[in-house]
Amino acid sequence: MSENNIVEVENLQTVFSTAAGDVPAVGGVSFTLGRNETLGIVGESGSGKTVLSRTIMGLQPRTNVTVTGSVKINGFEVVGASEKEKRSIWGTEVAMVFQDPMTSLNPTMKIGKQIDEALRVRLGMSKADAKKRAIELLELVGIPSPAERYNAYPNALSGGMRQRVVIAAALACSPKLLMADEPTTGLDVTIQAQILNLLDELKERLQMSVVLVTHDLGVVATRTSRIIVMYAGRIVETGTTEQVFNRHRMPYTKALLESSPRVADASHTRLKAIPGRPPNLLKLRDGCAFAPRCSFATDKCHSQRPELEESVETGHKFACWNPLPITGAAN
Amino acid sequence: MTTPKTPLLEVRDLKVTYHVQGKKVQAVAGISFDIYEGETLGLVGESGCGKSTTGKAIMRIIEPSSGTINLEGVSISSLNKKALRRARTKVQMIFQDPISSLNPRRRVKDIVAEPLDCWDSNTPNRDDIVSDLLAKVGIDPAVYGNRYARQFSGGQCQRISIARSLAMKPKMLICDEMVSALDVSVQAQILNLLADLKDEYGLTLLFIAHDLAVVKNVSDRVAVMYLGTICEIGPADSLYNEPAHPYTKFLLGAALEADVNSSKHNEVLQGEPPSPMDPPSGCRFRTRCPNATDLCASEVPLPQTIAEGHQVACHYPLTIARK
Repeated sequence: MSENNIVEVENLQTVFSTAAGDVPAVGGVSFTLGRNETLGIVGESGSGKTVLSRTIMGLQPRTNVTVTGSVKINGFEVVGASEKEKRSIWGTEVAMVFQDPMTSLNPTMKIGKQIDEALRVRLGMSKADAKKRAIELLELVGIPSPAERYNAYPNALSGGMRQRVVIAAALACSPKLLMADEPTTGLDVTIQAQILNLLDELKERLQMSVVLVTHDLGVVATRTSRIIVMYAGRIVETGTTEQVFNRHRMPYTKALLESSPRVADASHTRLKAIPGRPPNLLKLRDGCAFAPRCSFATDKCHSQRPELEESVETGHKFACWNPLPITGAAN
Repeated sequence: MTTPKTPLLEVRDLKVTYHVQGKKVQAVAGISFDIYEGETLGLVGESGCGKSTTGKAIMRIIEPSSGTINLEGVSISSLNKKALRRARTKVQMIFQDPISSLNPRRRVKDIVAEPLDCWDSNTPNRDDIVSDLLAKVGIDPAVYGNRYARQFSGGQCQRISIARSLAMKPKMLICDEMVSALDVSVQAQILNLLADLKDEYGLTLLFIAHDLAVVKNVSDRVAVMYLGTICEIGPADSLYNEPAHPYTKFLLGAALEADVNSSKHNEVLQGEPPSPMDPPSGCRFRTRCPNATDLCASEVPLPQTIAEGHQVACHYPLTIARK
């Protein structure tokens, strides 16, 4: 493992066994994440982005799931590790912020106690020290009058404030990697901007790596250094944020970018919708998963799956038999 | 586009009060607007601003506490139950969650036929009307008509909801966050479909959503709500290009664009909306507004016209300051 990488994922597969058959939610994903880097993982619902982030954390369900491949977080092999072993990295090496701050906080417990818990259990702090540190953390994430709020219950806080508490709890043991799964979905735009700015600022201040998992291309456009685009459980394109947004080669990336309406466009601008819908993972065919919806698809696309291969630019990879030309792919 | 000057819907001083834990909460605090025939009015704002309540109050799904609502000159607000039921056929609603707005155990064709069956159990050509509607929204009636609602994805369910809403040949649709639960690729399909059907059926739309880009895309005019009041209303393009209310400006500044060259939100609106249980005196936005003065605390700003069809409720509108 390279010293510069905090995460190394190698051919990771997460397959759920269901009554209807095996669902390859993550179908062979490899990537690395450098220290102090922010990586965006984007995709539509069912693309496998959430399952991927949970598998990296080692949070997959105990039964009916098979994980193969390798995930190394700061050298620690997550795949195959026992619950107890994984607990040694949760909090201190890697922490996670989930989408819904109401369900990730315990409604019957004071918010301060929920942050304390990690400090006392994981770091063995005394009650008084933990409380002091928890108040510092609440202040760090921008909660006004943190000492009073320490005793508040989650229901007394707004959605944005709750998400700040969740972030404070995640940061309690100074993780080197923060995984944020749709951290701002469900929040209002002005609050969303506040939370994303906070994550940016904390990343700089605490020297963390951040993985931002989202369906919203707007969230990752200005806040990540690299992006992974997922479709049907696989990476279809990855590169620097600039490469993916401006010089994408995979038709799906282009279609995804063009289908979202923009504030800058005049009203009644016709949207370029992608026909059809994402494939059923139970019935994945041999070829490229995007082929049935792709306007460039040829016979080869329907029969043979393209592998993720490096483009002429270093670090820019895409899986496509008929990539968009290098020039003219820009928006 | 030139708007014909006959309002299909006139809303005047609409107020809706909820009673929460013995306290009164004014979710909608006196708003007035018109919707002209054939146009789309976008209603945008953050959660809790009263935009959904407004949509429901127009149809009296939630009873307004005061104010008048006129639909084609008929006062909805004073109709009795029976007459209201008849009047409601002219306005149909489409809701946010497409899956929960359809009964999972009913067949698609029966769901779409339900409004017809409600009024006449022997509607002539019932099946033809239903097949036609399903075909219009891109669902093949021969293949899918007999399937159950639970067998469809979110995007398809929203198509079925649209077909159902058109069964009564309404004049107007109220779309409450109708694409918020959908993926972008599906969202674009539904928005395009809505635009096509609007032209074909000559519909008038009230489009309620929190997503600024989506609202701009579908609307001719846009109204921005904050804490139960309309702070700005005007033609979509000019309101977005030259926002006159500080809140509109912050809202637009916070919108995330899928573009690496977009700015990185240095001017972020601080704090959170105050509780509607205890709204600030004067201008409701003053507690978060960088331009607020004593005047804003003491006097409620009245809507003033700053350009043709563009009104702003602010003591210090931005466009005037710029000139």
